[in-house]
Amino acid sequence: MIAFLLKRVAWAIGVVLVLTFITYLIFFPGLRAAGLDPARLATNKTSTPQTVANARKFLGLDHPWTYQYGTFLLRLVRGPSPLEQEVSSGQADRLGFSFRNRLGVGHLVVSRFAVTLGLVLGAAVLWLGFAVFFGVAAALRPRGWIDRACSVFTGALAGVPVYLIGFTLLYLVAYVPTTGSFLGLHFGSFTLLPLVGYSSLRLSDPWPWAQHLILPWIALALAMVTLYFRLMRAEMLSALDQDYVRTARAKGLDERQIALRHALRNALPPVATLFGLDFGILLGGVVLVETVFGIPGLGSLALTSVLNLDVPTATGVIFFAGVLVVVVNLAVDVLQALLDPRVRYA
Amino acid sequence: MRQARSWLPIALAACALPLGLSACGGSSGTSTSASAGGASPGLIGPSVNDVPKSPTRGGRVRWVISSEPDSYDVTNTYSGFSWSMAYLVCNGLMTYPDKGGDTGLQPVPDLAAGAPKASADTKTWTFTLKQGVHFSNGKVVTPADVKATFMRMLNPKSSGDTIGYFLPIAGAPAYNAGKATDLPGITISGQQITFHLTKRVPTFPLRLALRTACVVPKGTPPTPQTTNVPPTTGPYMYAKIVPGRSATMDRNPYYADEVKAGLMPDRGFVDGYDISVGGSDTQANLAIQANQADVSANRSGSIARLAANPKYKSRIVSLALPEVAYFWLNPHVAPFDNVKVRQAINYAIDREAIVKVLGGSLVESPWGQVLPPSFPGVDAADGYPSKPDLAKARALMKASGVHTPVTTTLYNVQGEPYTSMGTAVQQMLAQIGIKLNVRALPGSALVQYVSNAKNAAPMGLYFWQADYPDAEGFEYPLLCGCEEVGGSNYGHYSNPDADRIMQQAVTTPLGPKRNALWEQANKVLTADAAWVPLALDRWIDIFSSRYHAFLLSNAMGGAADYAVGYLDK
Amino acid sequence: MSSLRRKEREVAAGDADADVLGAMAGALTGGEVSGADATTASWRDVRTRFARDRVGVGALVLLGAIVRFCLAAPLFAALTGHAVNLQDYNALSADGRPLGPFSSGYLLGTDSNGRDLLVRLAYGGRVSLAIATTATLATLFVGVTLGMLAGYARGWLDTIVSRVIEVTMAFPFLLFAIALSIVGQHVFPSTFASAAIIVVIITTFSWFYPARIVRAQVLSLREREFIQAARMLGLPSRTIVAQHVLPHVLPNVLVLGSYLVGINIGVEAALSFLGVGLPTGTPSWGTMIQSASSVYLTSPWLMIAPGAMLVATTLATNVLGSSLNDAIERR
Repeated sequence: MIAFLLKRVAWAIGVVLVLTFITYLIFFPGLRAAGLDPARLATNKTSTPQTVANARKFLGLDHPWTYQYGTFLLRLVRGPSPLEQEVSSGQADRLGFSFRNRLGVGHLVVSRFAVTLGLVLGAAVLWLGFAVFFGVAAALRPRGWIDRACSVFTGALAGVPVYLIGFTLLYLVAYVPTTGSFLGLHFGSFTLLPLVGYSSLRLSDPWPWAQHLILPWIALALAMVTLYFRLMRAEMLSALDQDYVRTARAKGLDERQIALRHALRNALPPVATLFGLDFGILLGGVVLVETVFGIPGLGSLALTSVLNLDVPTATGVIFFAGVLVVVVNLAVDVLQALLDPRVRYA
Repeated sequence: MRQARSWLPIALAACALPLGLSACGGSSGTSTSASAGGASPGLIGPSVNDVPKSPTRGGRVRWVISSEPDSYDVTNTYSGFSWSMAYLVCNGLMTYPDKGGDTGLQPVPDLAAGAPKASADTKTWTFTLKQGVHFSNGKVVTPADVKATFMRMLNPKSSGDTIGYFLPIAGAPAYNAGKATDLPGITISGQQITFHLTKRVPTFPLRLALRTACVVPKGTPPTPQTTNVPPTTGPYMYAKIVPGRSATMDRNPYYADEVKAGLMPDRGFVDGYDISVGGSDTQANLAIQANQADVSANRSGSIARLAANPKYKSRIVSLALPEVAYFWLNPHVAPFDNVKVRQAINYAIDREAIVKVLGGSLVESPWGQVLPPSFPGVDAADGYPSKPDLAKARALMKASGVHTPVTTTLYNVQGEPYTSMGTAVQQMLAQIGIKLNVRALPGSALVQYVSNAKNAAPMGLYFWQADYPDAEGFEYPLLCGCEEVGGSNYGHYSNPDADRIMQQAVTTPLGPKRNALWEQANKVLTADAAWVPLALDRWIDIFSSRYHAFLLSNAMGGAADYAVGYLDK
Repeated sequence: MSSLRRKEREVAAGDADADVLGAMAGALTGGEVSGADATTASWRDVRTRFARDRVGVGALVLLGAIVRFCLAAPLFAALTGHAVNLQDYNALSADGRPLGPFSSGYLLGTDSNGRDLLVRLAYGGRVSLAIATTATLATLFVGVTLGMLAGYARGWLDTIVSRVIEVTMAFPFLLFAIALSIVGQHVFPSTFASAAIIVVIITTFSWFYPARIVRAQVLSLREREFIQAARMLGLPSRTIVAQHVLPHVLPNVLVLGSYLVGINIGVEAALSFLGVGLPTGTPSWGTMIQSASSVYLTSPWLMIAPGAMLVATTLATNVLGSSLNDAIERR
């Protein structure tokens, strides 16, 4: 088991190295090929030759990109250099500091990650709840009305991009009540939900936080639910068809008890595995949802930092998102190995 | 010369500044004879002159913005938006008064006790600092703080964007290059601060009114601060900043006493500002419509759509900015080496259509000459017409002797509304036999490409706003062929007549004589069709029904004066 | 992010008991991969069975209609007299508001630039479909080739392909797509280059789906009698792969291809929506949604029209894929 674990961890580190190397390849030789100078981008707005020279010197851009990559790896291990500390007023951390606002990238990434975590977890509760409840209900009565209604509902959603779901929600839940008219009908305007912004989670009063996330939760859950519903239903159907369920039924056990006690237990692991994998990717940034609703999460940080060509932040976010995927995959692997010894030797 | 338009991704290149030339000038004592602005064209909404004598006090303004200002650290700000916020928290030696019309364009002493004393050659400027003004941390502002402010700005580890305006201070270039440890060009004696310049700079007091010259305490680290911004002296102070999320402005506890003592003007009627970052401009404006927020200041064109609804109309304000959208033309490249072709284009352009594409009459106004109307002496009737005159344009093309159809290339910025403008002008020029290819580049790449004269880009789209109300920040960096001017003259245009006038204007003391020179250059440049001016950008904003904000005459950047806004009880 | 990967997943588990999809789900969840072997059913049988599937035929008809609508784009332009980029300023009100649907001369109204929405919808569909189809063909070509190579040759080639697949799957897809696209646009600033970059991005991050499925299927095919017999006859590997292995693999590839077209339309639209795909002036359903996003509250039809086309196409390809699969599986 320990050998297996070591092998997997070594592999994960290798993957992250490849990933960061390619990121640096994109941002340094890539931008150079476009004729863009990172030092000039860092000074951005107006710049005299002297300001560009100052930036090059103090942001450590007066070295080739391979040196930059080496610095990145070294910084991960040893922390920021004294010059980086000074130039960023002590904000620099193991991921360096943003050229745009001189904040520590690690700090930025972690604070944005917390936002995304809240978004993804909340949505996951919704879509998993729906998928498990209705998946079981549909499997218990295949082709019954619950099954049909849910299949049509999720099937129709399967083709709708998440941003269109988001815009529709914003239009119906935010815009229509605010203006007080819809399709030529007029009624008094009222306000259902806050239309903009994000509130940090306060445990003493979580309502403002939840209020701002209700629509994003619903949008993300609607976009994710189809797959989970179908998987849950299929797994449940096959579980109900197993010998031990038939035995239990023959023994005269209550149908609901069979479903919950025996079949569900067997149907859940594949759903959990899929969730594990999705979770890693979603945490890396739900860019589309965050863009539509303006949520300051990891995804919007990635998008703005790339659009602004804020190289340290962009590379830092991609590194962090890659680590998330790799770590979650590793966790899934290890759990599977613990549950099923065959995997270890595969 | 800042770009205030929020959707413009262009980073302005070199901070071109007028480096004074030889020639000795006349007298000039005080600074306050600056250019007087014309009336604000098409002002929609209440002017700052309408602020009631005793406005309601108290309440907190909810401010929603889609993306963060470039900085909360005043020394590092460079956008109309961040300067609007800086007006609430900081003071420099000079400022602009909370007044509309021409008065609002005249700089007045702020932390300085009175008008500065200038030497006859405008190379030495002496200010006396007010006694007893406090930073929000309780420390009293001293002349040492003022000097430290400029040393911070010019420190090589800083990254201020208006450095260029202060390089004429003796010793500044060496200090900025890290070759010196002191700034000998600023000397202190008692409460007096003297700036020794290496060049004649009649506009120095206007430059001191830039928000980046706001005074910060001695000992502030030179590097830009993000969360722990230096204390300043304005009516408000940043109480908390969460990058990318929110910022809170509370009252500066020392300001009220300074108002009572007559040291500082009575401004800042609300108790504070709660700024939240996130969402799109559309969402922010929707929240204001629903009275969930009070102000956004995003200048989004979508606000104009709301004007059709009487419920919102009275809450919308709009004012033309001293900001011109234009195509530059490169006179070194055929067919633009022919003045008749340049003029023909100016007559063929349908400026009213361009305005529609850019969002309508509340967002833009058609404009046909180089200088915006807020500069004195500019007559709106002088420019090229808003409606195209195709007959005249075709006649000019014929007279030019250029064989049509002729093909050329427009260098455009990627993204909207540039793409639409590119298509629009393609359509318009096809009518006079000019076939236009459009090459679109991302903003940063575009600036780097067209700045290089070797690339000989024939034509491109740009926007420009002066940083302070004098044309030296407008015509001069954009159209002077003078060698020392930086890289914002993307057409690499030069005209000996205009150059001579502009070089004379730069060293002429502020006043009617100087203004007349700028206007004369404007006429020469417009007649020579140096540009294809298209439209004046407007400031458009919507407020909640409980918030009353007022329009300035936009001396710089933001047009709304938040410091005199108030909330209903 | 995710929404793209999700779509692939969604396809994967779209019908968990179907073999191709089971295999894709397996490919994703790291489980066992088994490919269906459909060649025992002749293509004629497949066609007969498909013809009986009303939903599937409906999807095909819908898809055909959409493709025809897009191909007819120049016809719409000619009939209306509105070129795709023609901006009619008279159609805009003084404050820049566009014409609504069913206006005179403009069946679907205009966008904020006074361009004919109907004409742009058709031209935009051409761009979206062209990019999605090209990307799908490229993905299948790369994936099937590498999958067959790895599965047939085994050994070090298989090891390399499998490792590369594992690394690629660990990439945060959308973040990389954004970075590649933005930097790519700086290096090659043209509409065509942007489209090519999108195709390359899609191919880079989806070739491993067909590769894994094909590899697994070839691994099992390799042990079958007819392949063994061919090998014993001394036929060159190239001939065996081309004549005996490929035909068995194709049905699954066809089904996967149908799904991929729908997914790839979504990917292009998502990238364009984020402002990192095609340049804004180029009509595509994604760029149209993107430019509508700032005005859709007051002019909802500008978002509804391209959104509906996008959704209809994706749904049709999904249903078509699943029906094809059913027909091939003889169920």
